[in-house]
Amino acid sequence: MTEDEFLELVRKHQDRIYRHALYLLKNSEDAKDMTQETFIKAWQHRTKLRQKTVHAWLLKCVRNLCFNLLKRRKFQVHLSDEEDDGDTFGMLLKTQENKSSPSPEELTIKQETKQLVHRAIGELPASMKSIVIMRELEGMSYKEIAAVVKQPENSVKSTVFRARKKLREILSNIMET
Amino acid sequence: MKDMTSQGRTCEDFQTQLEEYIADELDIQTESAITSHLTACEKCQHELLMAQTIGTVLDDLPKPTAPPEILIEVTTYVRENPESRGWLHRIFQLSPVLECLRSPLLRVSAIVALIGIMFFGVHQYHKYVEVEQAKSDFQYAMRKMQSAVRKTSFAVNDSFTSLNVDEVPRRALKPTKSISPAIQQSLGVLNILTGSGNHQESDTIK
Repeated sequence: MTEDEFLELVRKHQDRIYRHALYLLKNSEDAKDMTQETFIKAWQHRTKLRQKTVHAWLLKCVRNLCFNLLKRRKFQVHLSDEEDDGDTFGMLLKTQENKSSPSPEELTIKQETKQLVHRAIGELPASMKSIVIMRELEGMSYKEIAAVVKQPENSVKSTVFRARKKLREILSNIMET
Repeated sequence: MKDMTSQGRTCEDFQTQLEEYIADELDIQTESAITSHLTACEKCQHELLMAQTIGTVLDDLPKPTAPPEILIEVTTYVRENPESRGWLHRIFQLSPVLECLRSPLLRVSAIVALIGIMFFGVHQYHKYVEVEQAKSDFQYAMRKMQSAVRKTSFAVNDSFTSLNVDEVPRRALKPTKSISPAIQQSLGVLNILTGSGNHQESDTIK
């Protein structure tokens, strides 16, 4: 793989890798560092990379790096605004909401719902969260996720089901109130 | 208590597949089974609605893009660390001439030639060492011979210093007890060379 080919690969995958790290770590600086480290590792191991499996390899790598960082820091990922350091999804959400122009009530409900879903995702264990991100945000198939996390497909399905159940419970509470 | 439905499947069984049902990832048979179940089960209809809502919310989640610094940093690293390539590539990067050897066949040929040259060099070195050793042995033997000749000449001189020049051949013909066998042999040769062997018996020196 030449330098140009590798940089093309970086351009192609950097958004998804960064997003995965960002959702896991909840900090854009950390996510940036982990993404860079992932691609540097990819460059060092580029002889082993195959076109078909490169995305899975990168995801596996960024997952491991993020998990290691979380373990090292021993910090629990909280999505509550109080515990965030200003570099959070809350800000991202607000930015997104400003782009559309629904009624103020709709906007409030929508934003609250999103924040609750975020919080619910954030409360999931890191490994489960990673699977949910891959499935729900990146739209990956169960087979692809199973290849990344090295788990049977049914186990991945079960994890996603449990995560969604949790989200459903939260949404049910919202809809009831 | 689980709600049992037709074919022995529970509502929970169907609910585990709702996400795939929405994403249209199920086979036709399973899909139709869920559809027929949903028409009859209000609870599962509610779950389907929830699943669809979750799907919508998750779809609306922000999808931030990577900051440009990542590409810049990675590009810098890649440009600064080309040596992180394989060892073979590093060898071929040593000079522009080697860089030209991009074809695998050429590379293999070059490596074989290098190995051949290396073996030839080692062989030549061994030969050189052998020659040097032989030269050294020969010089040692020559020194030993010269030393032996010198010693012999000294011994001969010591033996004949008290004799007159005329008497030397005759005295030399008579072996004495003090003369070593080596000197005796030398004297024998000398006797033959001077041709005085016939006078050995008659002209012995007292």
